[in-house]
Amino acid sequence: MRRVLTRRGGVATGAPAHRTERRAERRGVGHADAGGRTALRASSRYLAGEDVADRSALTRVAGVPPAPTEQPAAAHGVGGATPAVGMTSPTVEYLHTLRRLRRADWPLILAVFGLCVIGLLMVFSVSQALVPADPWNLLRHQALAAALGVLALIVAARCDYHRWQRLAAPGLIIALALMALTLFVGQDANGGRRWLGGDISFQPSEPAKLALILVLAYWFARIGPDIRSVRRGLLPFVGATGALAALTLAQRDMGTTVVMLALACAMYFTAGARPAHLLALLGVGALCLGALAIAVSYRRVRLSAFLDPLPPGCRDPGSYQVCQGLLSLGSGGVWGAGLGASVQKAGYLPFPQSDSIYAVLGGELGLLGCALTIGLLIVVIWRGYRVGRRAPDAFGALLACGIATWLATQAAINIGGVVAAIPFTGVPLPFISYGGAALVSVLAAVGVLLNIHTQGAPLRSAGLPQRLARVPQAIRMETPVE
Amino acid sequence: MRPPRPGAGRRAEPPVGQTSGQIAGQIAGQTLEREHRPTAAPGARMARRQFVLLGLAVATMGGLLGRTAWWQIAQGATLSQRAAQESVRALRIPAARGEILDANGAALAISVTRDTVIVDPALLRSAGALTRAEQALSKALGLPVATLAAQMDVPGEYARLTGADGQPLLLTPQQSAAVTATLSAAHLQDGVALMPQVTREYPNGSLAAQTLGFVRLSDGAGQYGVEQLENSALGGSPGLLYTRVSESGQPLAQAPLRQTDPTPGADVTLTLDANVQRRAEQGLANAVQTTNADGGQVIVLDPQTGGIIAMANSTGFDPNQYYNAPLSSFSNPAVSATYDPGSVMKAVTMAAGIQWGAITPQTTFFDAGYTDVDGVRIYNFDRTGHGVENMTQVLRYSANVGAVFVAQRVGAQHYYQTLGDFGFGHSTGSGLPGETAGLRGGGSGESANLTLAENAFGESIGVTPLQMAQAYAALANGGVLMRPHIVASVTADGGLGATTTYAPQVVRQVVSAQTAATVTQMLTQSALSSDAHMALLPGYSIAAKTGTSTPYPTDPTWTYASVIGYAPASHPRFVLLVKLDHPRNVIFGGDAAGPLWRALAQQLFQYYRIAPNRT
Repeated sequence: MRRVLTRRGGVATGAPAHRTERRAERRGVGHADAGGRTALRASSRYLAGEDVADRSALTRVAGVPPAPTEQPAAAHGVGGATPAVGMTSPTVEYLHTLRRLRRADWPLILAVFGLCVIGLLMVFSVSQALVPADPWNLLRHQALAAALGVLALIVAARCDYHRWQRLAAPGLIIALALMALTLFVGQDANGGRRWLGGDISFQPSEPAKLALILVLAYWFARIGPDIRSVRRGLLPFVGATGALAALTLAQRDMGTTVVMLALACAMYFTAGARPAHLLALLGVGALCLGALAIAVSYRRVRLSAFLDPLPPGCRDPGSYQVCQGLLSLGSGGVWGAGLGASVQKAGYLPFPQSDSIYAVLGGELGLLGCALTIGLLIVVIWRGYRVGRRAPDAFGALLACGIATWLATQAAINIGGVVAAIPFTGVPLPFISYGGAALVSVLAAVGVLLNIHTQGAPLRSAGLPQRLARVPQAIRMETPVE
Repeated sequence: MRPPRPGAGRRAEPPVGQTSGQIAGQIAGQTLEREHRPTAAPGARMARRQFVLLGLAVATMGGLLGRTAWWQIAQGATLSQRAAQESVRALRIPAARGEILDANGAALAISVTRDTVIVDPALLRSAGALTRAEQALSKALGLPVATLAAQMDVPGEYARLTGADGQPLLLTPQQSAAVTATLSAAHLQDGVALMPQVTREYPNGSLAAQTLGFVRLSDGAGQYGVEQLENSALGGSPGLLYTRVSESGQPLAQAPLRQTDPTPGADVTLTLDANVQRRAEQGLANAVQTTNADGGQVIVLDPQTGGIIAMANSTGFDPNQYYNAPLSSFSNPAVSATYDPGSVMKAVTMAAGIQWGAITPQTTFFDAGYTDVDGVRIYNFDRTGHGVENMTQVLRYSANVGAVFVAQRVGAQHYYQTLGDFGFGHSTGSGLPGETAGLRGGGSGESANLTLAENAFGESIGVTPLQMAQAYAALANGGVLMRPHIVASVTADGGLGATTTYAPQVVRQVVSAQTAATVTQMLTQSALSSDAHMALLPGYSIAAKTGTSTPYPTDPTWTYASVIGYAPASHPRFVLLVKLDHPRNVIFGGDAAGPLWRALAQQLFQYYRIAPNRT
């Protein structure tokens, strides 16, 4: 692995936008500079009196890699505290933190925050019905997971996403191993074998999705235009994706399988795949999934339940979950019955905390709550793809694209199953559903998005704190250099 | 704006506070990372394709929102209705059951809330407090530890302490306070709790048990007696609470959808007088013991109204613990058991004869001590003839032959008509559960003549004690038959609402007031010198008749011994029936039942403050 990476590094040519910017900074901050706009832009990112040259601090706090070391020996020789301009370090740290926060993708952060709040509210509401003796039970677990998730988000946001490249190959191998292990020693639950561990169990398929995104982004970015070839593009793609998807399917987890296939295909497509290859793959995949859906008895039941989701009496075992979900959703109306007022969660609706939480949400918060949730999800997806479009390099773009597609597909499959738009499969609704591994995974993924964003086109991110610094219009309109 | 800093264009200074080693590591790592970077910049195609994906995703999510809206708006009403059908239930709110009061307003049956003890053995065991809880409860309840251990050292999370009879242990208020104090002192509140339960209590125990009945624990329904008769009034109407329930049927913690309040049951005031009832029951128990009888009844009626003042059976049960009593003890023999009344029927026969003009008190006939009817010889009870005797003497000697003479002169048709008018063969209409109509002759079969003859002196006929008392009450009431009743008034809404008083009901004028007065005089006179003298009290005019029936000719000592009478004869205040089933020490009505009749009558005279009217 190291050998490969070293070799790749030697031919680095594509300079991201921010590199130009840094060069301007290194040249100085003179306003009469030939690239005056660039210089102005650099200076304007600092508040008055800040030492522009203190790049190491910037590197540490913002996760932005420093410029190439031109004189490493000099750096080694400095040692100790020798501030050039007389700024004290805490002030610098503070200002850099401000700047980093200003450059963060605030719409994404706020949308994710909103979704997490809705999720915690709904989990609390369901917890009261599921564990009347201890109404805070599920909320406690979910809040802990959310705290861990936020920690993971911050770590991922501050850690240069390029570091994850190193994890691509080992990640895939570990994911495959865990998934295979689950097949043999895992716990059976809810009709599938998806869980590992005892007291603190988790679903390996959650991190497996991250691993797949990582390895595909790494590989597609590495092969570049070779994506169009069969040997370097199509076959490795089919191999990695197929192996993980097959193991997931073997755990009888159709929903996660579809999520994996969808995000893999989206990344393949984004990376520049030949339309012919993609269409062929989609055709074969659709045929396979269709055949599996019909061949396996419990999926056949779900398929027929999808075609007739509301039988009289609502007691048919096949369609029971969908039917109860629709009763809950439909009785919410526009305004909802009010938080905590859902009836179906009290024993009627299976898995109200995870697979069916959207039905409870619809029943308690009504169409308004649903629209808010879907709206926030759209914001997250939009910002995800936007980060991908503005990423400094192909790896970042593909990573963001994969994450966005993952969140979008998983949300669509969950909601689509509840509203009987597609056959019901058990996948959690991102940010909302109860489940620690899922929440930590998606929050960590959002952290990665935030980091890619930070390295992307910083001034394009119109966020709230940016208004603090009155940046001239012309500067904000400047486009990054390709 | 800012002076050019030294060293511009070169590598920046290291940050403050970092050692050179850290920086070296950092730089090395950064160099490595830079080398790891993919070469390809994200091309325009990549951005374009992601835009396509974004469009797809947004369209999908929008479609799902539309689908959601379709379910919530277009299908919302239907789905809400279906959800309600599934989850809305009407729960009963039990109404408080009314009280049963006696004529003086004393409580005969009340509903009280008592605590029961429930324990969570699993919780106590996990807390290691099971033994401690057993000891604390043992001390508070005064029960042996072993008894409690047998009930509490069980698997599961719920146990309700029961008494020795297997029924939930109901605590007295003192016990409740003791248990509460003990539990809080021993910090056992989590595993032991008091749960209130409404129970029906009968403060007087078995007093008038069959007449009052009881309330079935399982469903709160009144069973037997007044509890059954006035069940709907006592029970009130339960309220209904429409609420949403969980899949397992538990009401959800939500505001109820609709609620109707329960209407408390009405208080029922009886004509029964607990004081009289108690004396009657005590006296009857003594008499049954003294005469070694199998049982018996005492009935006290108000002849003017038909109100039942006392209705005592020798066998009773404790309605507080009805579940321990045999089923056979619940029925009320005073209205449900028939017997051959014997000679007490002769007063009715005389009334029929006088009413139909067949006889007068002065009518005489020759009593040979026997008479033949269709080849069957009927004797007087003592097989003795009395020669020529008038009708009053027939009553005095209790001459069966004389009664046959009267009945035959009246004729079967008229005789049975009068018998029916007196209420024989019909339910009295008292409403008490289990009442029977009795059996009487009047058919036209081969033995019709013999039956008529035997009926004349109260044999081969089945009457209930209440029917017999009712007939005498008609004689005491100027020939007007009153419907016996036990409920005097019903006060709605647990004693707070309107009171409905049940007016006395006239059934019919059976015989003329003249006839009734004549028969009363005959009874009063004959009683003085007959074996009914055992029942007499000095100074009071009493119209009474004894009866001793022998239903089985093979065993002439197996008798029903009874005395019925009313007093004061001129203005009767009460009709008193005393009946003993199969007394063995003394078998005749006067000897067996007479002393009790006299004792009870004396108490009634005192109780009603009736002065002697005859010296």
